[in-house]
Amino acid sequence: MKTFHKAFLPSWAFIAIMGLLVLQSGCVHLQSLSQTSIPAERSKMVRAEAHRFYFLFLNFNNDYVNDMVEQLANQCPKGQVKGVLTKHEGITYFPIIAHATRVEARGYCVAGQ
Amino acid sequence: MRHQRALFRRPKSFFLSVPWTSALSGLLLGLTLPTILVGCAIMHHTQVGEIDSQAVLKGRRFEILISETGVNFDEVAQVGKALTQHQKTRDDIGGVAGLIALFQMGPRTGNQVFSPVYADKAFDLIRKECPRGTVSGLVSIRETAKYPVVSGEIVKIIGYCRET
Repeated sequence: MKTFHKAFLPSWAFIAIMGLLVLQSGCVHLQSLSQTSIPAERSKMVRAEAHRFYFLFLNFNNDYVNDMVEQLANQCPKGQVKGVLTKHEGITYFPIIAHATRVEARGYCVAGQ
Repeated sequence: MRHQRALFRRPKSFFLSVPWTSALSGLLLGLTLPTILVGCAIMHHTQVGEIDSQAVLKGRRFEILISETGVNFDEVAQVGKALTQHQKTRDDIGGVAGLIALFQMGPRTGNQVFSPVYADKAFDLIRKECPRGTVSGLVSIRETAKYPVVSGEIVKIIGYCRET
């Protein structure tokens, strides 16, 4: 008795579809999210991003996020950055071999008091 | 004649003379040893707080590191099982590990620690870093430094102090 995929699809097409599904599934996942109080003045948005690529899950420090605050402050040198949304996500480029982590912070630049 | 052939046999190359298994195990050891010695850093959570740009650009940067030793009981059980040949002891270790795991179910970051209040001192440490100034641009990072069996459960806080 023929199985379902053998009856309707040639084996190469079945393998291609399965491969495509595996490659497309779950590439990015959200690890954590935080949000501070949002100000009334929301005219100027500032944004900073930190990214690290891992080979075979090898990562020996997380220092790449250290300068995110400076990045935001430099975009708003005479004011305050409020309503900061921090998003921390993991990315899978290829299972086990290639991964990355991306941390994104965005907020509103409010004129200094 | 046979003796003569043996004399003129081509010498084996060094790579072929090394047995496959020992070469492979050497490669694996070479790849894993640095990881074991240095430890993998796993980031669980990052949060950027509100920023007073003048405090960040003109103030003093400080970094606070609070750490507690975490223990992976699953790995402890695996090591215990590997150390004994006695099947009954192995079963007992597995049973105890299963019982411990039952009491530690639920979402968590990193391994279990013995002090539930180790991160509470963060507030006092920030105050000590900047006793008479404005603290701004706080970045809070929760991370794990992973070693075999044990881990460092770390809370790192980076901030800026602008003295008034």
